[in-house]
Amino acid sequence: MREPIYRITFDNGNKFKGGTNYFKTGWTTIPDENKIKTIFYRLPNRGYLRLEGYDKYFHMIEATMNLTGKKKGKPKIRYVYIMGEKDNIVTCYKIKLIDRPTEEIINIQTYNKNDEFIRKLNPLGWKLGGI
Amino acid sequence: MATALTMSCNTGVSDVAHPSGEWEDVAFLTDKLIWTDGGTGVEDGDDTPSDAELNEASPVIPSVTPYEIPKLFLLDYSDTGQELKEISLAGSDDNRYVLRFYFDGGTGTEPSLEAWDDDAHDSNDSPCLGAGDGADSYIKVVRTTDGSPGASWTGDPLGGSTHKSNMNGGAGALGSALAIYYNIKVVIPVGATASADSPVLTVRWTWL
Repeated sequence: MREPIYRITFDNGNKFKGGTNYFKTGWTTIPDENKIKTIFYRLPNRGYLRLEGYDKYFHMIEATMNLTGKKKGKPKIRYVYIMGEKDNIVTCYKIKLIDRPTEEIINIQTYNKNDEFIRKLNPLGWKLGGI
Repeated sequence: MATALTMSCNTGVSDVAHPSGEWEDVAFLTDKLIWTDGGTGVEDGDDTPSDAELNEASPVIPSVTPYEIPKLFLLDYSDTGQELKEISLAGSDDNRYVLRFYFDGGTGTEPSLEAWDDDAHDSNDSPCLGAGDGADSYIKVVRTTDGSPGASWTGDPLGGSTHKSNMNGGAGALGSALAIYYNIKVVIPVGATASADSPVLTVRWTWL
């Protein structure tokens, strides 16, 4: 059985396993009544990224589909974005899933929660965090 | 669950929304879009044109005024023997329902329509994409989901990271499934560099 792409521990001790592939992440099935204490996110290099201490968390997968030219046809998974917000600052961990040697596996960028990129995220993607 | 994307082209003569009229779904793996002047072997209902036929039908670089390539075809590989289907509503006329992009669910962010040199999505150096400056791209699009573009519409150039089209009109992520419409054209500027370009048109989107 394949490893889940992330594992969550809630502040009540309950646990949740994400989907095993990027097309079925399971993020929207995380019970809203539970608060996330820790997320362990699987990295392409077999390591894990650990997130905790945020007030809320966001997750999404970025893909592209080429309509013309070569290598068209199938959606190509490019990046995972996993974010945590605390004290009006959103820390975005962009995890590289494509073969692009010039990029780091994880690119970290911070935003103010009122930045356009953050404001225009799908609100359904946010899950509450808890200590 | 991942949000899936399907694309369809209006191959009829009526400017009506899908599924009315004549719409062809694009098989991303095999089908192609071809901009051409048209000619022998490169007309609606023809079979797959040869390279020689395509070269013969290629547009000439204008010397006086910009030249809009008159014909756009969908090369529909599934329709053996008559693969070329003209998308006659594409171009500067006031047509709304030309290309349709359907997302079958919500997204994490706003989808974008983009154009790149290749699958690496890190350059737009080819002449048709503006030779590094997306503002000079020959490919122009106008989002028509909310209304017709108007006669002789100008549209926005597509090229590289600086010139993309927000497919939800700048409103952000899709909350649910949505059909998004576009019109598209290719306009060659005066004195353009001769080239044979195969740019990559790309849709970029996210799911939760």
